[in-house]
Amino acid sequence: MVFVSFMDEFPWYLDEAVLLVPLDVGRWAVISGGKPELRRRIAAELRALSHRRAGARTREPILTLDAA
Amino acid sequence: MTGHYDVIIIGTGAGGGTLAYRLAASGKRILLLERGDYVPREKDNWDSLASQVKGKYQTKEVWYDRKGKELHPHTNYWVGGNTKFYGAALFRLREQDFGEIRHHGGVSPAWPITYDELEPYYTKAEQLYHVHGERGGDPTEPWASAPYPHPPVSHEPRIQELHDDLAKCGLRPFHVPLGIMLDEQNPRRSRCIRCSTCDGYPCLVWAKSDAQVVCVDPALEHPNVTLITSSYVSRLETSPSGREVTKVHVGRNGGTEVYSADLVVVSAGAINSAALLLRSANDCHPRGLANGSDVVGRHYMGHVNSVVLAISKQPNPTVFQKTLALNDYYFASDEWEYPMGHISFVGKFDANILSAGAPPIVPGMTLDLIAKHSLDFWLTSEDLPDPDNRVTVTKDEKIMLNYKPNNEEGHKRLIAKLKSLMNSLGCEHHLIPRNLFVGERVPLAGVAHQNGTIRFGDDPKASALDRNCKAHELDNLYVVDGSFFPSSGAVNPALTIMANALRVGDHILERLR
Repeated sequence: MVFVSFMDEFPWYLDEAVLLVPLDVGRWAVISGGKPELRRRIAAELRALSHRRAGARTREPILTLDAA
Repeated sequence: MTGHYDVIIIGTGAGGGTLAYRLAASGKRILLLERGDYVPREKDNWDSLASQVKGKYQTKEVWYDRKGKELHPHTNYWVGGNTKFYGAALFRLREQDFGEIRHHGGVSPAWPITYDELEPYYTKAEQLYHVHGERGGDPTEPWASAPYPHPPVSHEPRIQELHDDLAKCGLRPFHVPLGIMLDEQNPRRSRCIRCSTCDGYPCLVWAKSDAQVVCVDPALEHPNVTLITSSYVSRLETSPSGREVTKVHVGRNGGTEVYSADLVVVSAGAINSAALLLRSANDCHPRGLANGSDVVGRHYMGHVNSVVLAISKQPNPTVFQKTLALNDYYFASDEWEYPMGHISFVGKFDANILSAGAPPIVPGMTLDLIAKHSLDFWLTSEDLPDPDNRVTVTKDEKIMLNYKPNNEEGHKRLIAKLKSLMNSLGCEHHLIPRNLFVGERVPLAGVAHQNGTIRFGDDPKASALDRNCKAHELDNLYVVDGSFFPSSGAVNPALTIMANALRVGDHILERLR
């Protein structure tokens, strides 16, 4: 099982296997658990959500992967 | 106004701003003192005439050079410090930069800490500042415990062509690691619009990862963090023993305010931090605070920098130019037994920028035409820590910057190397017949890479700070801007300052427990 946590504080203490995707100012996604390949694929998908200009909203599905 | 805090941080740039963010969640009472205000958000932010030529956002302060001649420093006093105007090139120092390196002009000394000790903080700083890059491209890059958080920023066609030409010659050009909030896959929604007004300009849409946007403002969301702007720290006062800073004297609104804290962190930039310690001399510290070693203010370094324009027949319509760099000559190589330095780009010049101090040009070529055809290179070589290159304070408390360039041979060779590359690469068919190659050394007033003036080390006789960047001679004084560098390397120092601030932050948090 892969877990994705969205945080508004930088996660200072992370295990090596955990992936971190900076989404925006003060917004972070932490991806843990599951297989490394799946974590990497989810990280790549989450990067597509990053660096949004203020007010921008996405209408596409956030994740197209079956994270389970 | 007065008050007591757990920590006072003086300055909100790469060092102070980053440290504030690191400490913010601790719940400790933190006061940020910034001599400037917020950069106003206005159209002039992106106007090259206002921002670059007229220096609208630069300080109007006057310093002096070693001959007593007036110096108008190209430096910025705003929330976020000089990161508001930097090019966001966020390089790690090379692993070898932490050891001793022999240059043509002398020896670059070793640091008291190793690259391995700073590496975890480099990784965090890259994540915090949203760095886009690609591991494995830079032939001199040090090992890293994590990939860059975002993919590299793509080259525009003219720069990609240059990349390919350089690669055909056996060189290894690579993508500059950049701290910008750009999503190239979805430009319509991207915060960064990949414009030409990034390097040297404040970002009007707050898409550059500067210390204000990324660290200071998020830190201020914590109720325990306070920012007071337009607050000039004039001096630090110590206890009678001289072992603790007890009062921070602040000039504000025409009056004086006094604050105190358990810990005081100076991060006003390598020149102003040194000046503050020197101004704060007292009976216990007659040569300036923390200056029993007499190194405070000395060993000023700012890199040997040049901006070089290569003008070809082929237009260069690149908008965001600062994506490519070359480190093949960073260390000793087959070309020469000593290091030369680093080659990258500045933001794309326009005619307005070229009009400032315009060099003699080929008759008939307008500045606008030059700007449309130029490749605008930025060359950096390491300067060495000379104790006579120093910051001092005059009797009327003005800053004097005594600097004599050193280690110039490597830089000359780097410029010559670039010239020969541009003439001999696949570019030759589109260089103008008598290739116009304009090079200009960045003058003393260009103090963007300032460092070295309050060096850290294990020997209190030869350094002002210990390896945690705490003053050897005071129990509650730290410095976290570029002052602590014992040597400067030859890449932009910003990421190293940020990483070190995170490292010192961990130490301070441990101490505050």
